[in-house]
Amino acid sequence: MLRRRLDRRTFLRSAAMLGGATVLAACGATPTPQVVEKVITQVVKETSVVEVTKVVAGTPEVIKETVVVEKQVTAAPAPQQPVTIRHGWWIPGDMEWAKVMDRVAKKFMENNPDIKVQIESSGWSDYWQRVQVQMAGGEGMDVMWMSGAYFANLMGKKGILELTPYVQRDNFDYSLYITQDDFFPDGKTWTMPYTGWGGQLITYNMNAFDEAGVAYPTNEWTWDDWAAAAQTLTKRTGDKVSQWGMWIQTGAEYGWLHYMRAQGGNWINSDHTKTTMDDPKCIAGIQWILDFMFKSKVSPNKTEQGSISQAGVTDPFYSGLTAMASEQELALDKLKTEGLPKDKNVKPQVVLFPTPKKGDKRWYNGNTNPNTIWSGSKNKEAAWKWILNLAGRDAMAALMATAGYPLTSVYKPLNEDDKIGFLKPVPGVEWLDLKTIVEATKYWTGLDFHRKWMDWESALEAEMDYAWLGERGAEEVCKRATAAGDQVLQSA
Amino acid sequence: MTTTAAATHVAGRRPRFRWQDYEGWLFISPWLLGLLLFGIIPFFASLYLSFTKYELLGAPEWIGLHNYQRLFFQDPRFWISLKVTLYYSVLAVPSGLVIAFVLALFLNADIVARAFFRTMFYLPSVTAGVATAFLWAYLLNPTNGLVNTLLSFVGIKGPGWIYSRQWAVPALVLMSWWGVGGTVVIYLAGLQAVPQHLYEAAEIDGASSWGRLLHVTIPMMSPTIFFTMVMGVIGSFQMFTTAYVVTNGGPADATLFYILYLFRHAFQNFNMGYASALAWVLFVIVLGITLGQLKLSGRWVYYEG
Repeated sequence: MLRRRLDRRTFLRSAAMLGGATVLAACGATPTPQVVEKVITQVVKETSVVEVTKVVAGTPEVIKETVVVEKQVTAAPAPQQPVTIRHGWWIPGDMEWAKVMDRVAKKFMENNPDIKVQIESSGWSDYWQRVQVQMAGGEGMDVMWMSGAYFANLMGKKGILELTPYVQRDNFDYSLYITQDDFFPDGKTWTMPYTGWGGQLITYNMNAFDEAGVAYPTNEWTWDDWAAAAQTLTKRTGDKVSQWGMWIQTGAEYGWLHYMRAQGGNWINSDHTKTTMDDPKCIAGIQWILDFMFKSKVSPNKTEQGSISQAGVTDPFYSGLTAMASEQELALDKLKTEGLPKDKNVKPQVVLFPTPKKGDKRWYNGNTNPNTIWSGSKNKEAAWKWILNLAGRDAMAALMATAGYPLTSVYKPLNEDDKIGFLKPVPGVEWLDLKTIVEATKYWTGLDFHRKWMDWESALEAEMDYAWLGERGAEEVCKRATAAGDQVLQSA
Repeated sequence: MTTTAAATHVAGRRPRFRWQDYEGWLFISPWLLGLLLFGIIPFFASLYLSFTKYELLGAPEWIGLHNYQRLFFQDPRFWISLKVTLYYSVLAVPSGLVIAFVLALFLNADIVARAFFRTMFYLPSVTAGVATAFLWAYLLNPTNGLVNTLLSFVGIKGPGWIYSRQWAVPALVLMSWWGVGGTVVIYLAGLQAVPQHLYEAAEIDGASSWGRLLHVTIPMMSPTIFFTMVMGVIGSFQMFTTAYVVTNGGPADATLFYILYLFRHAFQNFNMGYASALAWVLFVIVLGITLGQLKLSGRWVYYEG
């Protein structure tokens, strides 16, 4: 058999041809047809005649007033070719939610055969990188589950579509939902409700209270009542604590912000231009936490908390390490999926977070996570239909029915429903006062999200750490945190 | 030069295009393209971006020196991150080099199961960084970690380690010793290159073991030590994984390393312009330190021949 020798020229010629063919193949791909939506907005005048009866000098007079209202109406565009919309979200820790999303999407697609919904899940930090990088590359997800921490920033960069015309056109009634002012800047609508959590509670171990002979907390508890109970419930032998009276989280969202607000202070002013933690009311709130940690020592400080969690204790309350904890209803996921821990002497119950003094206003941290539409989406109408569907009763009920779903619904009627809603008793903990958890949602206040919130909050947390480590007092950390926060707010 | 090329040159005409003059470039072109696209262009693009406000969405907006002004005069966390990184570098680099050198001396000696020990000391340096970080976090648990438990046996109350502002960086230095295996291997190679006749001559002159170490081994190893020192300093300024995974910059910014701070600005807050300025400042600092080391090396590094 003849063996032909591959010479240099033949090799180079072949490599060049192969490379050129590859480039041509890549460039010659058939472009995807672009679907162009046209949204037509008209100004419509509505005229109505209102009759008002007034009594003038003893004689009734009927006054007819003609009222002319101008409003913008966005007409639904004509039926379009089948489209695929991408819905991005971060997995909040429970893959059961993903199954619910798939089920709801499947039903939606059966009812809307021209729309295909593609759910895309990520971890928290990966999600935000994807959102922004894909937007920057012109390939953003049509629908995004949104966090307030990023909302103002993305909105400021014009990455989020204003939904006001859609809401008005389809007469969406926000009064049925728990909403958060952070997502309605300038009175316009940018989001559709989906999930939310908040409402500070005290979760307490009834068995621990029984053993210590302490009366159960009530919704009328004050901070003094709470401190006295925590003192009695703390079990200490030398340096070792087998049961803390109270576990206070050291982060802002579930911890110290609430204590400042309970005292009547807040961490930032209303137009988000000045950090206000040097307010004496804020300092008083922080001092309370420090007294718990370092004076009466009924709550572990940051070092102790870190050490305990590093040892593998993921939930100190359900591990029996603390008689009370400041929990939102997030703790319900464990009860619903795992039931009560069998080897721990824990019988949970909830009560509203106490007020400093009787009659003080209740002001709890709360946070919603709505759905938004990317401003560059080529399928805005389809995306709107999908998030409108997700805000509907059926989809909200499906979410509520998810195994281990721990949250109250942002759709208020479901929070009053004991068949399919939040008030449906949790098997194994039928005594749990779910109505109190719903009650707490009435006192929600958002987290004052703004464009520099991530940087700003990080700077505050770094300063507050000195307090939780016992190295600085309340007044000093609050003043330093104010200065650090203002530096971020004033930066360009 | 071939006959054809010489003839063409003599005649004063332009040489013909020949594939063999350019095929070398063709073969390295994939690597060159990668260097250009993923190295050189981003390098200079980040220089441009450092003078802009760029938050990924929308075009970069030229703001001149504003990022650098903010960095030096308005951002206290820049100085904190620089201080933390320098502190870590000062602790980790010398200690790491000393430990690696001592280990290499032992592994160079004629000991039983030398090959086994060489493998064992090298293995940790190839384990995954994240897994190692978590492992050490468990070992350094203040309440029931192995390290504090062992200390308690000798009557010492262990510190809070990664939960203590004072001990967080030393804890990370301790974790960094886990990876000295790579440096040990380099030192082993260097030790084996030290000429044996120098030891013999020193022995004849009556030098003790310590004397041979000080006057033969270390001077002959000085180029290798210098190389590992330069690489160690550069590596210490790039400390990120352990801080990100275990401490996330805390407590109270005690482990807010420079690269971690840069990462936050770039990939969590998407302040790309500001992050680029941070990157360039780091580049200048590391370059300055490296040049300083090179300048001082003439005083103590001995190059044989």
